[in-house]
Amino acid sequence: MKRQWLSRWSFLILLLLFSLLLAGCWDYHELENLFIVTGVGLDQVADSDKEEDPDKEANTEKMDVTLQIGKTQSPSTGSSDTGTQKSSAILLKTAKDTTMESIMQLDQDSSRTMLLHHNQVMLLGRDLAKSGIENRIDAFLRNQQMRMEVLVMVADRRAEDILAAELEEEEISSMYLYGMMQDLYNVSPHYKIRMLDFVSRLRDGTSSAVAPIVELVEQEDKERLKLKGMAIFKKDKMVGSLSSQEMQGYIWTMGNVKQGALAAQTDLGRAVFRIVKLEAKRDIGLNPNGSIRGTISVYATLALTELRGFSGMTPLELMPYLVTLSENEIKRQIRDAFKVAQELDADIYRFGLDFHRRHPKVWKTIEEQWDQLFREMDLDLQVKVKLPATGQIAKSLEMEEPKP
Amino acid sequence: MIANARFFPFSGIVPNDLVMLIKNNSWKELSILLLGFLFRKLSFLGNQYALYRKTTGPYDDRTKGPGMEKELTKNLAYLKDNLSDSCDLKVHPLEFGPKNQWSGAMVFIEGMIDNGKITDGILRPLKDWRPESKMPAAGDGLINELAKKVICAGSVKPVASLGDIILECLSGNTAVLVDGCATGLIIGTKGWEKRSVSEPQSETVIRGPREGFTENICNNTALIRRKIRSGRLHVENLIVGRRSQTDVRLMYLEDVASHEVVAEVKKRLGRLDVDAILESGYIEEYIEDAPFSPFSTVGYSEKPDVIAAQILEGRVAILVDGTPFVLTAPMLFIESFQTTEDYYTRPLYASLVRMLRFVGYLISIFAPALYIALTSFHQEFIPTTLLFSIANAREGTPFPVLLESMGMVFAFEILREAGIRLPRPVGQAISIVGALIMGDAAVSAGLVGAPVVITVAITAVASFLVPAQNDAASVLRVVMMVLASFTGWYGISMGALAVLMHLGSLNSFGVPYFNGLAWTRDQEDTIVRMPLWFMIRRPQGIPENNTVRGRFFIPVFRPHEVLDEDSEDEQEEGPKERGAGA
Repeated sequence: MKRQWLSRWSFLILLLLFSLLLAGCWDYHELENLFIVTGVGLDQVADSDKEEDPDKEANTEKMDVTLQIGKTQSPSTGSSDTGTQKSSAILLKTAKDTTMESIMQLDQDSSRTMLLHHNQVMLLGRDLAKSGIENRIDAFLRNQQMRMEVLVMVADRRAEDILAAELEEEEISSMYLYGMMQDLYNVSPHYKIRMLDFVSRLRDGTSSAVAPIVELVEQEDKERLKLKGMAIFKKDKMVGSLSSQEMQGYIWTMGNVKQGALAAQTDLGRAVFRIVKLEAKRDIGLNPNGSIRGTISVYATLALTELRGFSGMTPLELMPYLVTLSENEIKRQIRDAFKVAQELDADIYRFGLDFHRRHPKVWKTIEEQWDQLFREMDLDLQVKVKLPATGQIAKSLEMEEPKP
Repeated sequence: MIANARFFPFSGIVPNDLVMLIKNNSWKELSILLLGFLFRKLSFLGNQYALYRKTTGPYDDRTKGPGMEKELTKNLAYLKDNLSDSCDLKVHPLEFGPKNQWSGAMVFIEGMIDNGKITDGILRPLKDWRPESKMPAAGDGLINELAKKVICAGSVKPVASLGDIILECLSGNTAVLVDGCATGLIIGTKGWEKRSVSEPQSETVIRGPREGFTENICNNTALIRRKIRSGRLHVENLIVGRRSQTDVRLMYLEDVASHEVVAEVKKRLGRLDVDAILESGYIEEYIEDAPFSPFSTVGYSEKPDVIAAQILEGRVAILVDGTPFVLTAPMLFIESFQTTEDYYTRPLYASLVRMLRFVGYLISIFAPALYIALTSFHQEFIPTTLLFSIANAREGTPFPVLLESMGMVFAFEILREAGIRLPRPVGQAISIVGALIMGDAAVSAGLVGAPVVITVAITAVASFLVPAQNDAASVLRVVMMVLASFTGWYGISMGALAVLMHLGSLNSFGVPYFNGLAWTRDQEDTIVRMPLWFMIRRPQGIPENNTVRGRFFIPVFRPHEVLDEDSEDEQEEGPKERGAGA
């Protein structure tokens, strides 16, 4: 009897020991055996490859997947040959049907395991974005290693060129892109498009997704990355883009702007304002004739930062003039962006979602024809600007003294 | 087969059985057999321990020895014989009386007596002694006369047993034997070279008393008495150790300390059956509640103010002759985080430092384990930039991260141990060499990464914040590192949970070890140190009676302003009256 009891206990202890020893080291990875992936680029298969292998043309499913990997260097060797150091990023490229297949292939071919948790940015090549991406990004949503916080961006040409860019400011281009978006995030949260934001727009049916466009510019033998507006997606296909100016209009429409600049030009001169705070209130309703009416009220607090011209005006005359001037400029830019969106039938402002929330019953009847309704929608735009101060000086050097 | 069994080290497992099991590939039975053996050994130990805990009653091995004979020579012969004829045993023959008619002997041990006391207290009075009335006869009368009228010493007592004489001589007293008397006299002449009261090396303070205990138990008792001038401060002497016959004293406040704890301490001291007590650590190991736990359940200190504070909180102090370290029981976990200076500096800063100590303690246990877990399991937890700098440092280092940090922790322990044992000037050289080699050379040689060095360094420095828990932290640190290398964060949290459960289950002399940190209202002196006027209660669970220290009152804020207001009121009253009169 006692012996049985003993053996039972012994077996239990054995099981506990095994559970520690066998389940241990499950996810164990030494850092030096990891490739830290900082950026993923998806491109349509390059033309040159197609010519080499005609079979590939038939298979349109294939795409080029480029992984950018931050190179790690031991400090002792790194310090000795800083002169010969070329780039601190490694690019691995392969073409497979899906993203994960490509990553697995690259994993197999390289000496280390891919660590995808620290992926900063997912870059879509322009051509790929135009051909539709719904069937390309499943891995980014399904896989636990791929975070939903990863930035989504569109490359002006090919994503791999952006990832390969050698920049002065930052050794790894995707870290630079991340820093750039983080900086813009301080201006307005609507600049930074994460995978989460991107997909939620794709999912809600009527809204159109946007993503910043990055452009590789060569200036005096140096490569630079620039933000060149925003790509507009209709469903999952890129259909057009907003220019830098129009992008600003879009951002203002969305409100919650904490920084930024605004320049306005008239015959009298040029005024530059700094945005201290810009809020936008949106209202959407149904007109009696069945069309949609959207109201956007923008409340902005500006600060005057630079003036040129306006000679012959006293500060007292100037300030109300500047207020209307800036109001008109804001209106103009917002309307420009809205026009582009309407032309593309792309509801980038998520008016459809707003309408759905406010009038859920009506929404069911008009959901089908939303694109047309959006195209014909009136925008009632009201802009209120507060310009509380003139800055450190009241009048510029060009302006005349006020008559006593 | 039986003969085999006897010589085989695993008693109970016959090798033939083993061979058979291995041949048959019955691994399950084999493992059960081996683990069963381990289990039996452990349960044997457990039974022995239970048996030990059951034993009660004091152990008294003092040989009473035979009674004294009338002939001096016989007595002296017995003493010489039983003190192993040692050369430091001095027998000084005496002849005294008006006509030198009495002969006797003075017996003492050289070096343990005060020569001045012997000259002035025994030799000179005996020589000058002229009995006023008739001569007392040799016998008890003579001894009484000597004790009462002749000998000049603080402590004189008659003794009739030769065993007692041996013991007293060994404690530094002098025996005076007279021929023809069956009793002798023991005169207190203790006096030997001893260290004077000085600043303790292990517990230095910026603000607070600098005196520390010495190796002399009488001095130590007096040092505590000087702090607590209360009649209720009870001192009790026990003698422990078959051969060392060490004086052990219990000190506690009779009207505060828990009688159960006092009885328990006495009971545990009573069942000690040991050869010698050379340091209070011997006592601690025999009376502590959890001998296999990394946490100590008996406190100790080298400073009288600390021990006085402990006694005032209702604890029992255990003083041991021959060591400056005094034990206190019961001990709480929180005690390790309290220092005397917490109560001597103002409460705001004291609380801040207290919290720092908790953080430091957690760092000293978990920092290397966290580093291992984060870098080898949870890379996604580390910010990207930091990950790159760690990865850069890891690049080209030859060992896995566990081995790397284990090596550094090991090297640190070596350096610490070397630094402690060596004399101070050499110790400094060691620390410089250690810091240079470990901190710089190892990194630039590419043996270890800089982040490991930083982690181990902060761990090492943090461990000095709570010196009382240093040994527990050193053990737990290694355990946590191994757990972290197995299962990452999961292992660390399981380990931490196990440690917490263990801490929660510990008891020290019937008082829960985690008192003060547990979910009670007794938090005045835990994470923060409340102002002294707020802490009017002694810690819960330790004292039995008089749990309140004093009356609660809030000291007057801005006393000068209050005075001013009063005087203003008086001034205002004057004109008003005058105005009313007008």
